[in-house]
Amino acid sequence: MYLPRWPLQHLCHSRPELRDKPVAIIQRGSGGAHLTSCCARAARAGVRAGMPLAEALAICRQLFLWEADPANDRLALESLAEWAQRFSPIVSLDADSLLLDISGCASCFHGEDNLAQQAARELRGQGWKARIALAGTLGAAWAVAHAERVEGGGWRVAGGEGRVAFSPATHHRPPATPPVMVPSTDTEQMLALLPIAALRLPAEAVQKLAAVGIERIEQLAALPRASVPGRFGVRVLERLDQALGRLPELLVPYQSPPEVQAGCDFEYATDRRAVIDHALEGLLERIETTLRARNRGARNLECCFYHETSAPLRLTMELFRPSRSAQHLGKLLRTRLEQVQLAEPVRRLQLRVPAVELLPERQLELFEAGTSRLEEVGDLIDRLASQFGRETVTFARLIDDCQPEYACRFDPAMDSGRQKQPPPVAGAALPGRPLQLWPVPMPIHVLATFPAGVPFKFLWSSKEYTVRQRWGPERIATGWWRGCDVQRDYYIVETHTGTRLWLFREQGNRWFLHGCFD
Amino acid sequence: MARSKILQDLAERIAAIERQEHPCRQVASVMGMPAWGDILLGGDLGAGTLVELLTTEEGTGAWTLALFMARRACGERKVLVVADNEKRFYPPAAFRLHIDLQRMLVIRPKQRPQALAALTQALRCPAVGAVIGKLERLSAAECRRLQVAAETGGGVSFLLRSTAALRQPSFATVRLLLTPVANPVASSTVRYVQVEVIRFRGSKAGQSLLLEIDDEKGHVRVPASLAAATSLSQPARASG
Repeated sequence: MYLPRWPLQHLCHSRPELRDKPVAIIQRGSGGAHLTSCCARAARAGVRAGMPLAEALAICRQLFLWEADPANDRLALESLAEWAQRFSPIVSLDADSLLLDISGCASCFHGEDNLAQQAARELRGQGWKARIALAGTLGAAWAVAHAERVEGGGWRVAGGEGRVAFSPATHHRPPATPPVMVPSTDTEQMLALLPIAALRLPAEAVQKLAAVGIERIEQLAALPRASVPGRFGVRVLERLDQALGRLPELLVPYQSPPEVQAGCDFEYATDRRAVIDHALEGLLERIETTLRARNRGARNLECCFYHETSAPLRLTMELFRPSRSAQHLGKLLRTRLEQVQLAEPVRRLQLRVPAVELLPERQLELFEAGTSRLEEVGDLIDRLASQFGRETVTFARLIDDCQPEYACRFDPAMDSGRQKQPPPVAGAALPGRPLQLWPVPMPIHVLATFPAGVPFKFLWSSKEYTVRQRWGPERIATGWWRGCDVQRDYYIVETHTGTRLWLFREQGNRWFLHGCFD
Repeated sequence: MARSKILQDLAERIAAIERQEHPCRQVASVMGMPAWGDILLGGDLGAGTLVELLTTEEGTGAWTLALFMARRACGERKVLVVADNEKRFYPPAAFRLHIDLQRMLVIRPKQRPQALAALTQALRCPAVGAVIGKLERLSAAECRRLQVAAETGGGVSFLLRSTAALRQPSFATVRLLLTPVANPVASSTVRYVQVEVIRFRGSKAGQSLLLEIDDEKGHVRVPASLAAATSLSQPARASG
């Protein structure tokens, strides 16, 4: 399964708002920053992989830049590899491909073709673009999956520089690319016209072969075998033989790391908090050690208290940012523990980390840095959410909706830690709104009105208000798709005390107070 | 003790020392208006300040003023925390006041005590530049806890309360009384509020300032005519 331009695809998959923008991935080096890949939109503007950053920005000012993050790209590919294990227990990873040995697995899917089709369908459903090839050898499958037609009838190996650039799926489901099946008897014939780079040769060997006019696999196969290792390296013949099935190729399967967990049994069941806290501290230190060794941080933590007779008590915690700090996790756990009552003395304690994320080591700095501030905010969100509930700690998101009560949503801050949120709706486009908006408009009792029908005197919350000035109406008629459409005429009124209120009149001439400009 | 813990403690101590020596350094002109200098000594609020905004009724402009000052206290990097226990805070209007919603946490607790506890915890966090909350009843102990938390974290706390709080003791460094002023010009987007200093350390009580709030542009400023009169008077003082 070849995933074209994997880093770019991974980026656009996690940030869908970038699919319609020119995007490039950059890498900084001693000679400055340069582009490692770019999308089709950027390529049409004239940007190319390998180009210096300054040149790329001069060509395309709107270019969205993203720093190369090989560790995270690898992590994402590993998570796909875990998914791919449903098709074969032997899954290996390449830089941008998943390599599966499906020997003996096809019968579970009623044939190799069905297996390939199902894999393609599921990948597409998840929003990935992939080219799948099945062949008798790993080398042949890799070559066929990576090969692309070019103008003039030739072939090239995808991933190299050239005119063809990655085009991220602009829709949730990318267009279908049917899997390619290579019968074992046709392997040599299929590989013959492909470029030699399809054999996964070292770049130096490809250059040497190209220098003597060897560009296709059939040309390489025609060379005297005895002369090839000495002139072009031992790897060349090895790769050719592996692709043609003359030499076996070892596939190192990917093994997902075991779940991070730690547990301890008490000699006697206990409900003494000091004992339980001490045991938790020890378990958290073990978890921290394991996570540090794997360069990971916990995203979720589950703590189980097992009793003699009662059902186990499970406390789960979610974190805004991955963390492996035993101190921080311990504080959060203790906060949660204070909110629960243990039904019985505890016999066994078990800590599990169901979800982990990359959290590499970073050098401690004595003075403030941007990253440490983010960690402080993350810690604060974790503490508040742990104490008051996940839904209590929120970030506000603006929604493009005319009805005021639907123009804003409060999303749990925990969700923001995982996703990249789209920027809020441009402020200039928003009409003036009050800072205080009642979730449900409050009916007011109108005592007198102006000739136009706007209240002159009204009662609200047992208090009488006299309107000195009024502005409006602003008509809002919307929401038919929500089942109850609204048609409201909003007025800003200034009362005799100088306060500004937001009233509206509904169909039927009923008046409501919706907010105040505080 | 682990080396990383020692280094972390050292960093926190250095930051605390820096805050004590330069209490105003991290709070860049919270007020943002030179006219405040006439009524507040130094014309500015230091980090760790507790500010009470007292109003007779809703719709006076307390939230707008609090958000305006909180935005300046948070600067470009710090986070603003708003406790919205009444579930009435409306972020689209805050966005119009140039508040960065991605740096604003809104706590929506189910009970009032949770709002106070959340604000206290938030104030202790050095990454929080300011907190705003409407807390009507506040005991002396709770107020003191808020003040200590603000001093620990270096943020500024804005408490919105009614004038009934004047009869209660308070640990607030600054107490401002806000009164809406009728707009002589019929403008739906511009309104005025009179801000009177009830208490400020080192300043005379009773001094006041008229502020203009432009809801459309998201500005809070001294009205132009008053600002012009102030600038005309300054050269005379300077040459004297």
